[in-house]
Amino acid sequence: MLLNTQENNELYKYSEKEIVGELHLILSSQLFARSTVLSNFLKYIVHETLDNRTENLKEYTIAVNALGKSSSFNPQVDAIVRIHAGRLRRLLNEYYTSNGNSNTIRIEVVKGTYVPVFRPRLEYNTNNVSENEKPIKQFSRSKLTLAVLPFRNLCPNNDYQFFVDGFGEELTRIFSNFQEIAVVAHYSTRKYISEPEDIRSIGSDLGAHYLITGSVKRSTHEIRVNICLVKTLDGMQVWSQTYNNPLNLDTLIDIQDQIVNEVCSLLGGFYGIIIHEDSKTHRKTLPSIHSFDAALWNYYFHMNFSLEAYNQTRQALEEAMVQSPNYATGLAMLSELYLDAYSLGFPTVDEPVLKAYELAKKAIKIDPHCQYAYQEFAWANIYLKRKEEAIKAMESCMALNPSSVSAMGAIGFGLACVGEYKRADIMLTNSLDLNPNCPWWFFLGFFLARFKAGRYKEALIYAEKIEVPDVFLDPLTKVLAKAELGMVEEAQRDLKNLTQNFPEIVENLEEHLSSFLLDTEIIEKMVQGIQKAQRATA
Amino acid sequence: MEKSIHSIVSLFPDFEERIEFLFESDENFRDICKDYILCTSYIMEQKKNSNKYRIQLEEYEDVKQNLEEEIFRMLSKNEST
Repeated sequence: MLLNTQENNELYKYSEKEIVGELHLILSSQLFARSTVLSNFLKYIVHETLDNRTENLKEYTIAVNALGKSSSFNPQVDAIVRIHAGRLRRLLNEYYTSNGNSNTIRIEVVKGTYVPVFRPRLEYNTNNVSENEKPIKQFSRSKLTLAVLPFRNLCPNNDYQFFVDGFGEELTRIFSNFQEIAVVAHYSTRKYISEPEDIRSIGSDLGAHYLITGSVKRSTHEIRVNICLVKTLDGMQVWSQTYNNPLNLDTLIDIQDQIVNEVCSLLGGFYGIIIHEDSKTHRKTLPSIHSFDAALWNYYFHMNFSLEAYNQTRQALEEAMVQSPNYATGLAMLSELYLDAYSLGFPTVDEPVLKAYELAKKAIKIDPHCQYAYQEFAWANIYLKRKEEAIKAMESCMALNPSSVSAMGAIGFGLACVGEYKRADIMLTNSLDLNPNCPWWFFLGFFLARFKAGRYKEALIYAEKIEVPDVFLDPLTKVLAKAELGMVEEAQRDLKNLTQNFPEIVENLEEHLSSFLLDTEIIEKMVQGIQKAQRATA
Repeated sequence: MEKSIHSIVSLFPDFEERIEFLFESDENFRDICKDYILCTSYIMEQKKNSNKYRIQLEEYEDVKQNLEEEIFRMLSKNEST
């Protein structure tokens, strides 16, 4: 687990003398005596931290001040500090499992930061673990991993076992269609029916970040299914739901299908509770780009669309693609990011649309079952003004996993952009009903459909929900709806915001809108709307 | 990831299965492998350019050697457990 080092150091207060003493012990050990580079590295970061200059602990300052690099050192092209940091982390671990085993303080360099942590020696000692206690291993998988434990049968006489077993199997099957989350095979979880264990141990054994657990009970007339989502890192319950249904043998399978679909829609997918919860945890504890998973940055950016998050997401994704050039979902994410940057006026690569098209195409070639890739292929076609190809790709996307609420929303918005408002409305509504954790552009999809139909009051309700200050569509939709409703003063305020913060976009509004909207009528209507608001202001 | 495994396997061909296992299950091992790949790519890149970075290259060559030893120690350690 990665730590928030500042909080951690505040939690364990040691005197400077104690920490310097520990540093000397480490540096005088044989392990460190062999490496001047790592000794200098450690000495520098510890002293900077003790002198309250942690803000200086960046790759560049470490390179220049601790490793003797010249002032022209460029951390963008030279990774030596990161590599030495990894070596230092491992050497410290080795030290504390050998010579430093009994030291009272531990100096650690955790991933994601160069600020060292000063902690007490771990109380936990494997030699003292009783036979019944199982140590909880730290584990990490490159992908967010879920396991569905067998549901407990709490019915009298173990009735309805087929129904109870079906939940684990069905949930595992459907979750395996979501590319964002890896699912442990149900067979691997079956042993926990007879051997109940601590959730954290099970998570550790299976390498799963989240577990779904559940139980089935029945009364004379009713069958009750409880389902929970638990985070294995701390054993905390993240979500739970009880489903009550009339007891009828003929409809049991239908009830199961309905519950399973609802749970998968709510928890799975890019905007589901699992990724939402995980990104919250990571955002809070992992401020460094090097340690933050690129996919979670991507999620974070798509929830707030800030320029800062965009820059970090782009860097993280581009770095991830250098490491794993055949990661289809990563290629699709990068394709999406280039298109978003293009339409929002953020700095991006040359020829972003063509580049995005090529990336999505490559992603499909690598993995023809990658739903995300089809989604972005559709979007690239929208930007290339190829409506038919876009719709075809959207249909292929939904066919791959109809349960994916996030894909449903993205495709719904895509349909709104190509002018298929009715279909868009249905998909966006369904998606939002199944999972309320949606990004702002869902509301833009609703806005477009209402604005086109002249339902301005409803359009304004959706415009008010678009709260993304770095995006011109935030003030634009508000101006448009308010101007049509005759709310002159309010429209003026939003217009001022729009013209002050996005002058270049206002000047070339038609061009910007037509980059992602294929319905020329709505573009004309929006341009006229702005002119109307400008006239009212004048 | 596959690229990483291949280059590590080509370095220690007798440990192919163990490398795959550790790469999947041990974050620490994966980090060392990634650093090793980073090092070798940097060295290759700089060698293509010129001799002007000779001193830096020496440092990278040293680090690469250290990482190779670390990988080998992990492979041997895991084999004996």
